[in-house]
Amino acid sequence: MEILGLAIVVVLVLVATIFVVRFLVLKTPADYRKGFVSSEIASNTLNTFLRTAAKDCSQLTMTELFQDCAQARGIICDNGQDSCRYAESTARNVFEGTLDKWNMKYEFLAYTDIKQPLVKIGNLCKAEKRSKLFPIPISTATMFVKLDICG
Amino acid sequence: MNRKSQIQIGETIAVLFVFFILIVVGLIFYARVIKGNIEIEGEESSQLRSVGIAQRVMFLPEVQCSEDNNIIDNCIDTLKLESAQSLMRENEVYYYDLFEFGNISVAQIYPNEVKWSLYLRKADNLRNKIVTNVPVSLYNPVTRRHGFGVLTIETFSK
Amino acid sequence: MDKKAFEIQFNWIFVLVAGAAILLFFTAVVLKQKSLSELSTKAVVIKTIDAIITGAGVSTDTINIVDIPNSNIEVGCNRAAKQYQNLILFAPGLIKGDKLITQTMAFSAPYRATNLLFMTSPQVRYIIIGSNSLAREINKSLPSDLKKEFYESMPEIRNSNNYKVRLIIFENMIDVPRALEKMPDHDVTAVKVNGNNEKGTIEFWEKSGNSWLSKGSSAYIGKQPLIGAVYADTLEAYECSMRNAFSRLNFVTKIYAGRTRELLRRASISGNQPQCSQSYSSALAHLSSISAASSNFGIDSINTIAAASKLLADQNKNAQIHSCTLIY
Repeated sequence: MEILGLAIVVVLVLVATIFVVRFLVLKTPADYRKGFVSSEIASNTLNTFLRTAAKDCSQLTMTELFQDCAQARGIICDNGQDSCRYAESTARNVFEGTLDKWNMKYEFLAYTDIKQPLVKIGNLCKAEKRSKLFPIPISTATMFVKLDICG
Repeated sequence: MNRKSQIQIGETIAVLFVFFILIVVGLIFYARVIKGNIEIEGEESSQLRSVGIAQRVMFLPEVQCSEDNNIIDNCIDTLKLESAQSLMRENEVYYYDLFEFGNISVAQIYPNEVKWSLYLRKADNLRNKIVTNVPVSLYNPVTRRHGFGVLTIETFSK
Repeated sequence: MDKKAFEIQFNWIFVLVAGAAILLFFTAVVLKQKSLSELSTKAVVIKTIDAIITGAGVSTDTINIVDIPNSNIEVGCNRAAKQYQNLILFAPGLIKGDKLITQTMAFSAPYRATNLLFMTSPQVRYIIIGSNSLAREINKSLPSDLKKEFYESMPEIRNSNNYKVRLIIFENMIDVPRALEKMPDHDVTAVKVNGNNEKGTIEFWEKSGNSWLSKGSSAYIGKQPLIGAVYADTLEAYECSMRNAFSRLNFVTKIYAGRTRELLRRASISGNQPQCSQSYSSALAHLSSISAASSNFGIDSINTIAAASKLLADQNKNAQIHSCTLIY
C-alpha cells in the first residue's frame, strides 16, 4: 500500500518536473530584434531605393525610371541601358552591398501584372516573410514594386 | 527511554532529513530555473536596448532630414552628418546617455561609396556585440538628390 | 521523573525544535520571495519608463496610456525610477497608481531640437481656469484621459479625493479652494501663466494652509514648454527639464550652423544666387545668437531665442522664395 502511495508521489513529481522543464527551462529568448530588423529592412530598403537618384540617368529617381519602364521605355541612360535595365542593375548593385552581404534571402519585383514582372531579383520566399509593397501611379494604371524579406 | 521510542525518533529524524533534502533539491532546481530566466531576460533586454538605440539614431534631430521643419522619415541629411561627426565626438559624454557603449556609422552605397563615423564608445570588458543595419536615404541638400545608405548601429554589452 | 514522563517531554521538545526549524525555513523563503517580487516590480516599472523614454525620442504628438504594476514612482531632476543624465520629462513629483498617461510633443525653436515627454497619473486632478484663447488651447492639448476640468472663471471646487491637485490659472490668482485646504500643502499646487502661445512667464505656487506661497517664476517659449509647466509641479523640476531641452537645442543649433556655413560656402563659390548667400549669412547670425542663448536657460535667453527664431524663420522663407536650399 505504501509503495503505491510512493509511486503516485514519484509520478506526480515527474509530471511536475516535465512541466517545469518544458515551460521554464527550455524557454528561448523572444527575438524582438529580428522582427524589428526584417520589417525595417523591407520597408526602408524599398522606400530608400525608390527615392534614390540614378547617377547616369539625368539624376532621375528610381521611381521615375520604373514609371518609364512600365510605360514608354523612352529613357536611355548615359551607359546605353533603358530605364528597366538601368533600374534593375542599380537594384542588383544596391542589394549586393546590403541584403546579400547580410545573408538575407529576398525577392524583389516590379510589375503591372504580377505574372509578367518587369524586374525580378532574388528568389521566392518559401516560408515566413516580411513584405513591403509600394504602388506607383502610371498613366494607364498602377504599377507595384515589392520586396519580400524571407525568414 | 525505551528502544521503540528511540527507533520512532530516529524514523522522524530520517523523514525530516529526507524532507529537507527534497526541499533543498527543489530550491536548487528553482534557483537554476530563475537564473536561466534572468539570463533570457538579460538577452531580451540587450536586444530591446539595441532596437531602442537604433530607433533613437534614426530619429535624431542632429542628422534627420527636414524640409521647412517637416521631418522626412528614414532620411539623413549629409551636410548635417558632416557637422554631427565632430559635434558628437566632442560631446561623447552627453551622447553616452543616448547611445551607451556602441559604434554608430553611416555608409553610402550608391551612387558612390562614402563612410561617416558618428559615435564610438567602447569598453574592454564588453564582449557581446549586436549589429543592426538600417537602410537609409542620404539626402544631399546642395544637389537635392538622395543616395542609398546604410546606418550601422553596433551595441556592446557584457 | 519516571521514564514515561521524560519520553513525553522529549517528544514535545523535539516537535517544538523541528516545527521551529520548518517555520523558520519557510519564513526565510517567503521573505526572500517577497523582496524578490518587490525588486521585480521595480524592474518592470524601470523597464516601462525606459521604453516610454525611448519611444518619446522617436515619435511626436502621441498620447499613450500605459499599464504598470501598482506603484509609487518618484520623479525628480534627471530621475524617474532610476537616474538619467539628461532627462527631458515633465511630471509631478510622485506618480501613483497602476496607469501612466504619457504625451509627447516636439520642442522647436524654430527647428525641432528634441521631443518633450509629459507623464502623469490619471489620479492627479488638473483644474484649468481662464477665459483667453491660450487657456482653451492648453485645455485642448491635454489628453482627454487626464482628470481635467476647464472653467472660464473661478468655480466652486469640491474635493474629489485626488492625491494631487494642480491649478492652471490664466488670469488673476484665486484663493485656495476651501475644499482643498485640508490636503497636504505640497499636494495642492498652482501655476499662473502670463503670456501668449509664443512666450511668457509662469509663476509656481504651493498651498500653505489656506493661502498660496510663491515658489518662484520662470519662463516658457512656445506652447509645448508651457504644457510642461502644467505637468511639472515644482519650479525645480520644470527648470531642470528645460535646461536639458536647452542643452539639446544648443547642440542641434551648432549642427544647423555648420550646415548653413557649408551652404554659404558653396553658394559663394557658385555665385549664381546672391540672394541665397544673403539668406545664409543672415541665418548664421541668428543661429549664433540662438546658440549663445541656449547655453543657459532663463527669461533673457528665452527672449533672445524667441526673437532670433522669428528672424530665422523669415530667412528660411526667403530661401524658399529664391529656390535656395532651406536652412531647416
